[in-house]
Amino acid sequence: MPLPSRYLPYAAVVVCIVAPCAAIAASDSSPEATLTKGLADLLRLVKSKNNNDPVELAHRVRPTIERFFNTESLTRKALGPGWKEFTPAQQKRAVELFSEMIIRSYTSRFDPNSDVDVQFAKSTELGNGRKEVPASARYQGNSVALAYRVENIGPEGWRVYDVVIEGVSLASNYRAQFDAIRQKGGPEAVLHAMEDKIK
Amino acid sequence: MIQKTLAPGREGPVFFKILSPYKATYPKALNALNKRFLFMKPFSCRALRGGAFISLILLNVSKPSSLAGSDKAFKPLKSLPNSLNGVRNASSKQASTAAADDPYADEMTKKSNDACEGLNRQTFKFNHQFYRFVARPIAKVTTFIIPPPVLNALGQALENLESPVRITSCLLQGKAKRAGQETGKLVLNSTLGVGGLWKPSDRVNSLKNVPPEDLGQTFGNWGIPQGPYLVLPVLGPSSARDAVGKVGDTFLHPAQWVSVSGVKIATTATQAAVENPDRLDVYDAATKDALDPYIGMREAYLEYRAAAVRK
Repeated sequence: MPLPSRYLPYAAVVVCIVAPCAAIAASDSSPEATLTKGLADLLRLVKSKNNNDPVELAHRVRPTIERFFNTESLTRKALGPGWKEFTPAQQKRAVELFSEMIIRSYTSRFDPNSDVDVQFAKSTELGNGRKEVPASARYQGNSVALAYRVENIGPEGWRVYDVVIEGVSLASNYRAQFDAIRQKGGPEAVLHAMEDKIK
Repeated sequence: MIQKTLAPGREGPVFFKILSPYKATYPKALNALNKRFLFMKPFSCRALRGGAFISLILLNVSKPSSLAGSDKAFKPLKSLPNSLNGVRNASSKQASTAAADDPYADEMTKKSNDACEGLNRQTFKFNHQFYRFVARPIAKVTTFIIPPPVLNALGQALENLESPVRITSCLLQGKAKRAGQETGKLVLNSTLGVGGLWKPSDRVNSLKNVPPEDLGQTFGNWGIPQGPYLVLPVLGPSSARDAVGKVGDTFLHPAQWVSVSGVKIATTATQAAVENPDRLDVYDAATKDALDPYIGMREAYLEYRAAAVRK
């Protein structure tokens, strides 16, 4: 049985550290520089307290993630064409719930005492003002292939809107799940499912 | 639609004509498959034909999305006849509307082929209980008895033992450089690494991150679609293509070359014990935070395998 890489679980953990690293630098900097600087800033934030409580860690990193991660784009990509079926209020709620779900999910697996070494490669164009930055991360002795998809949102610079871990897109993975729930129960069912998950 | 077909008498084995109802849906696919299986025409062995036929059914003809799941999609028509301009304009309008509704559609993979979803979900439920009540306790005992460094060394040795699978797969795909790297790893790890218990190849830059290959990926490289997603009892996620590939991988494994059944059993048992914790880690990673663990695992597996074929 070809397993989806034994290192996949470690990759998920690495994402929690590296994912929200976009757009700390000015808008004219490259996505690679943005991610590199963002990573350094975030690691400093994570290691500022020696607290292993994932809830506290999630609370601590959330402002940074919301500032530098385009959670609306990530949610929109994950919801796909179903996004238009949501009212503006439901869309706002979906963004809040989804970002909370992702942050909690990844911080619950992260060990702040472990070092993360990430090397970014040169970005490639995806079109429509988007780029992909390939990266190789080492966490707890395992090497993981990552790719950060970033978009230029004008003066605020580059922001991450999806993370691809060992070829598996975060947004794409959730899209199939959201689609199945939405087709059965509509937008409210999707929101309830996310609320239940967070509880 | 004008389509290039095989010349009369060159359609491939007769039994493929059974698939003719699908010709309207999969003309290019059927032609490609007929071409691929032409070599079988001289064979009269029913079992051989039957085996190929079942594989073909599993791989290709379950439902339309089986083609959508192909890693190597057919090339689209670059131009349309003038008489179809209206159709083209209507299509481009639809495309622009779709892009407005879903700006990231171009980055998404096609809908997964899950023709056996009912059965798969039942197997998934069984596996969940099996992992919970059997595999997880075994993994706890294994990791308690065997220290993690030893378990890791055993895993590396088993990985080293699987080198023939990877080397053959590389060669079948025409990846000579990668086959050379795998051979280099085998030689280095088997000698300096004492049978692969240590991995000195990790200290050589050119041998450090060689993407692993198997027959399932080889089939994908040849353009054979993934086929329907399958959940195998105990083993977990797979696809028709990967399941067939796995059978081939088993024959390429050196443990199968030894006539002593004890060696085969010992290797298989060690492999099961060493892979078990990894399998559970992967299962947890793909399902723990999913809203629908079955879909979460399915999408992760199919996307991961599609990416592995592209590497």
